[in-house]
Amino acid sequence: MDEGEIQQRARTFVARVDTRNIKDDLSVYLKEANAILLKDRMGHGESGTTLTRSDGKHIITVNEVESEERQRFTVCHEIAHIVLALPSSHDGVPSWSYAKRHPNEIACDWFAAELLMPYKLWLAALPKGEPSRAVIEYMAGEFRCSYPAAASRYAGLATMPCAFVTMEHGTVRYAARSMSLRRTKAWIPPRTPIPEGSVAHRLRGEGGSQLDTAEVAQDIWLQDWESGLDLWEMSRHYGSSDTTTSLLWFEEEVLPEREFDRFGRQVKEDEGLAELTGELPWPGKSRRG
Amino acid sequence: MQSGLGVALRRLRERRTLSIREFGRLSEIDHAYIYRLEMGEKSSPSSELVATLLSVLKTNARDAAIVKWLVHQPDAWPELVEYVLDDPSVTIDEFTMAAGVRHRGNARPTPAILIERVRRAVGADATE
Repeated sequence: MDEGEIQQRARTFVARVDTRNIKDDLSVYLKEANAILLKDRMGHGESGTTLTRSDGKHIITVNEVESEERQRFTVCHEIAHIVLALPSSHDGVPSWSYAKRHPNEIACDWFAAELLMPYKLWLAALPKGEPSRAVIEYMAGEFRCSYPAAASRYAGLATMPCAFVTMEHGTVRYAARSMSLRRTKAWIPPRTPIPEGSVAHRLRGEGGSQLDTAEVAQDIWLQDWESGLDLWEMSRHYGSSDTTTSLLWFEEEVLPEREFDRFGRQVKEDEGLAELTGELPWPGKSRRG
Repeated sequence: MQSGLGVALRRLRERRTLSIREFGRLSEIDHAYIYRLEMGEKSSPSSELVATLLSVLKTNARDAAIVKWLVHQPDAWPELVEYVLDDPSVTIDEFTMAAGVRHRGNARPTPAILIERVRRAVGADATE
């Protein structure tokens, strides 16, 4: 199942319920998924589980020790397991390896984002203008989700070329890209060190928890990319968990024009026609006059 | 890689204090094949073969039901299987419910905690 199919299934699911009150209450989703919610003190690192009874009822348990925002995301993630009928891996998942996460878990996160931040409500609530800390925090508050969840959603639904990069312990784990950025095949490779020269690299080097925005060269972040063009990077580093996030965006006009053939290969520009000199190329000089 | 079925067969064989060769001889099944089943290198044995193995192992009804269920569940968690086989109070319904659990987070509960949660979920009010 690819991201587009999951998005479609999630939007079909959302369309069946009344989402007006989901900021305060996710019970409409639970009811639609034939699930009930329990809260429990779970171990450190455990966010939630789903068990299915023989009567078909699904019991979602979330860790009440975790933040309200994370509990809400977990509820939606567990509903995704139910609706998509995806099992989860029993292997422990090392926190340093989002890129190695089981594909089912990544798929359920995509689905959960659609439930927690339905795109129609999102677009209706989104302030106009460029992204900023205030905009992301406002959207996180509107949908009662975490800052990274809101920033990731921002990138995914942005009309401008935009990406949200999650990094842990100095390594890129995942990048959510807007449709316009995906079209240009802009690629931020996971499991690579945070690139030097980026705001994220600087903030992590400085330690502590802080946020900063600056212009950086596009080819710092994007693989196989033209140099000489800039993008905006709003980065946030969380010292306690050694987690860094970066929202990257740029205007259409500063994107290099990249053309791809039907096999997805980049069409290299040739040199084009030679500059006109006013001299006819034929007949040869030796035969003229 | 270990499989739930392999772990169950080994645990039940050891409970009968049989070596793999003795198990093979009594069931008239190639002991090398049994070894591969136990190690998770072979999967999906036929129902006839499973019935033969179970008759030699002289399992009770619950353990036999667990083994038969595991034949069709190659991804079952081996540690949970071992725990349940050692705890006769866990019913087959509780076991299958626990085996189908979905998680979120980077830590997993122990089998004992998982069974405890299953029991709480079974009793959870449908109107909650």
